Amino acid sequence: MQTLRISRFWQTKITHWLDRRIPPAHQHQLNMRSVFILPSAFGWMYLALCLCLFLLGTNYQNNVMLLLCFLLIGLFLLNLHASYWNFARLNLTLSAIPPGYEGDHVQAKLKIHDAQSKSAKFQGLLSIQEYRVGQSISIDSNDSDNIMLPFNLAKRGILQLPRITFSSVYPFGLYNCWTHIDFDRHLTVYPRPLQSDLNLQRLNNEDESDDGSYVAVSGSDDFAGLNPYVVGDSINRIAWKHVAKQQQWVIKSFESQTSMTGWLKLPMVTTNDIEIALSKLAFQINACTRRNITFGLDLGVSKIQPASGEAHRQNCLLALAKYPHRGQ
Amino acid sequence: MLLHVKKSESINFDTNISSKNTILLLSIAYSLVVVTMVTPVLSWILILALCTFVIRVGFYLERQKTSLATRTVNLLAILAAIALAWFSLSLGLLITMVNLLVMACAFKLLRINSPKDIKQLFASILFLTACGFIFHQGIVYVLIYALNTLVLLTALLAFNAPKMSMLSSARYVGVQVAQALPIAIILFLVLPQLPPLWQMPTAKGAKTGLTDQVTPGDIADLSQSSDLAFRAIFDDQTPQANERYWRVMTLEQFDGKTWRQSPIRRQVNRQYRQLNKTFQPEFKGPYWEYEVIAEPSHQNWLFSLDTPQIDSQPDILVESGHEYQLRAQRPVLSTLNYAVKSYYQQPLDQTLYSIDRRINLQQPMEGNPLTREWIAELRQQYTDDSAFIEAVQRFFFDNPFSYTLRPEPMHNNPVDSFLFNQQAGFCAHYASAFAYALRLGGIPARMVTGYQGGEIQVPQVLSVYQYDAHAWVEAWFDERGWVRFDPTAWVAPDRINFGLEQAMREEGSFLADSPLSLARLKNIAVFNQLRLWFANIDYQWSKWVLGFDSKQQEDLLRQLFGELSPQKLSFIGIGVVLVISLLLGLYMLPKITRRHQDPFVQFYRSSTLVVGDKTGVYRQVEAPETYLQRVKSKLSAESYELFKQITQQFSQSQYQPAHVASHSDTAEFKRKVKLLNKQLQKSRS
Repeated sequence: MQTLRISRFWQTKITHWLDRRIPPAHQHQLNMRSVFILPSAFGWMYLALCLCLFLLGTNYQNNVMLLLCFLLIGLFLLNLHASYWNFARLNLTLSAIPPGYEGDHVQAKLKIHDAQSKSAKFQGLLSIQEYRVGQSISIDSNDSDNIMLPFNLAKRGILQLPRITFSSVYPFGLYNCWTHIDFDRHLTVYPRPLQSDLNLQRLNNEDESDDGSYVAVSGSDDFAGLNPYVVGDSINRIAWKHVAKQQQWVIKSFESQTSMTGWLKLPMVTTNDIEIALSKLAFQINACTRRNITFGLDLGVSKIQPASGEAHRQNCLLALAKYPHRGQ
Repeated sequence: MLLHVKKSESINFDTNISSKNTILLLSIAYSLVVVTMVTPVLSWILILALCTFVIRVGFYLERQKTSLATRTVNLLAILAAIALAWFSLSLGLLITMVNLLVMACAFKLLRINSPKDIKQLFASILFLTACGFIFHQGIVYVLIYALNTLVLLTALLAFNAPKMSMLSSARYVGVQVAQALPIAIILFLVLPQLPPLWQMPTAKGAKTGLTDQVTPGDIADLSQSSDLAFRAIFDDQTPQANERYWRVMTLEQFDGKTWRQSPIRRQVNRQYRQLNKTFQPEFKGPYWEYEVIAEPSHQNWLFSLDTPQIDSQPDILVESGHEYQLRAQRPVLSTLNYAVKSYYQQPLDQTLYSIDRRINLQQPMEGNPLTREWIAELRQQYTDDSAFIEAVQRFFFDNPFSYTLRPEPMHNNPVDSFLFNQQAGFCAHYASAFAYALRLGGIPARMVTGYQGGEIQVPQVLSVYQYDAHAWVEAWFDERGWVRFDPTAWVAPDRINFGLEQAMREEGSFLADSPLSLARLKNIAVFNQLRLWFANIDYQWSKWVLGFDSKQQEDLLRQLFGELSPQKLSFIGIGVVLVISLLLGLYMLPKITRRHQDPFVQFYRSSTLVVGDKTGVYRQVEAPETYLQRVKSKLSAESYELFKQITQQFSQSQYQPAHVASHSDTAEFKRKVKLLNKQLQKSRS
């Protein structure tokens, strides 16, 4: 317990120090301030090998062996510079991370070079890892300047993207160069849509009472066409024939003639069920948008005035993502 | 965990594409090293290594796709380890270790499971390459091993940058090594050359040169070897051919077939050593002064002309024995330099006669009855020692003795069979028979083995090869001490005066086993020139690189910096560190400055300056097109057209992504800028 507290104390110290040393930004040109470099485990092994060669060469009075040993040491010294200068050529830019539903993977574009710059490029493998957590991804810089970085959208909410560690051992693996970079980006995670009936409440006028004032819309009147599949849509409505033909998931959608307006409201539920309620709302927002229904969103803590269209949908979903977590 | 990582992207690392090149390069380097180690490595391990190489090439060409099961490889490894443990009993530590390393690398190469394995393989093969220097230090081998190191480094680079083309990887490694070389040389010249820190195991199989026992027949094997034994660099004059008797060993024990070192002699020498009494005879008269560069023989014997005087240097520790021979305290494992003075007129008469006599009258109790009979008769006839020796000598002259490198084997009573039946043999036969005859006649005599002759390829430098191996006889005379007799010279004077090659011309047996040896092709002028040229390079290599020792290092530093005080030495140390850092900085300078060097920017700027000079309108902070419009009216139509093209091309290049512009584009741009320059200058004048 004690050690845990101490390590947490140091961790916050280090985090503050990093924040001052490598401040958050969308774009980073690596330099003396941001690059850390130390011999890698293999580098130490290499030095041990050099020591062995020196002892062997001295004991056998073998000058060529000594020369080889000194050559290897010379290479080791040179590599300190070679490693650093290669790594410092990185110019990292992470574009905005697209929002997504909980449990999805989204990709954001990472540029490792400045397109305008004409200087030599970073070479070799680049390891990318979340700061102090998880496994690393290896990327070969010779493939492309633009790398699609995949992110896990694990939990609903707006998350600050933590520092990402970039490291490289180019050219000979003797030194490990690394940096921890804060791209000042956010992950926006919408609740995962959960199929539910549309529960649209009529536009509230002050004088009207709450009960019996909602309109249930059963969206299965007339066949209106095919739409791309969106997470949360009912499996029953997938047009399997088209899936087989076009290799793309589409659903049959139906539209009732009545064009309606109303409010989507977060029902009063216990804290345990709040995520489910939000998921159902997300589904309804998508469904309303697809049917061009003008709707407003009322979450209690925040309210969005009725509107329609894609931008409105994004706004509403964002509001759901921002809805505070409870019971934790 | 926010960053999404697909798990186990490469399930089978062994046949993985991305490390294909690395593994191939590693196996090439490995097989190259193993091939140069044919002598120390056991033949079955050699076969194993080559099989591994073939399997790896199979993987590379995708002829073979399923890798071997780990269990199979482990089982094989255990079996091989047991086999090696069995063989190790007779191999000695060093050779066993080398074999073990070769074997371990083979099994690791058979099954590569993870990146860690590749790093371990790199380190092991690099170490193996370095071990190669224990066995070979010649310039050709050093080049092979240097190449091998480059291949290994390229493999390592390919591992860390898999998509980089092989050619550019190799070029990168070449540049890095070329940059590291000056650092290595500075370290080599300045870091103190330490004496050996502890005794290392020596290789039994690696011993070359003379052995410590001679059964007539042995030296003939050596005569088939064109390896260098040692070089001697004389200060002024070199001795004549018939004076070049290089003593190596004195053999004083004869059992009827084989000559050995005498156990009594060994015991006496040991006692002297324990008492810390070294043999220090007095020296008088003229002498030859020379420096010997001995090739590594893995033995203690050194080479000298009679009577040698040597100043023992602290890191060589040479001792001279009572048989007038020099011996290093440690086996000669690498090229060894030592300076000797040889007093060639000094008689060898300063040893304890009582001991020498006791040892050198020893003779086998039985065997060779004909020789005994003959000597008994002869001795009755000639009671005077000199007359007796002359009579024995006459026997060799009067009978049809011949010198050959291909004598019939003589197993029973070899001296009898040689003297009375075959009458054909080489130096060891003659020396053995003559020394035995003298002993039978009551004159102390012994066999001396060494080298006779040597070739002057570089002025003042005598190169002595293994085929110059020779054996002769010393007999004791009360008034003169040990006197040298060479019965071979009576039968084949050419062998002494012109060397083995000349003596064997008719028989054609000189280096008969190695028909392509350059030494065999001496008669063809081109080849001989080539051979001498190689010999010279090899000599310089041995003298300046292999033979570089603490004494030469001190001389060099003294030459460069004058008398060495501790203070000066510390300054030199600091200086070296500074020079190395400076070198490192120098290498990195182009990388730092290249950041701002775009050829288009550079040439466009120079063109605007020229245009500014001409028109008086200089470019301020403005877009290239704006500037073009501003100077339009002040330029001639022709120049304007050219400058317009330059401006357009420049703007285009600036909005292109990096490195799209090809070399020819840049060249054309440069050409236009130069043309504009010329035009404007012409119009001004």
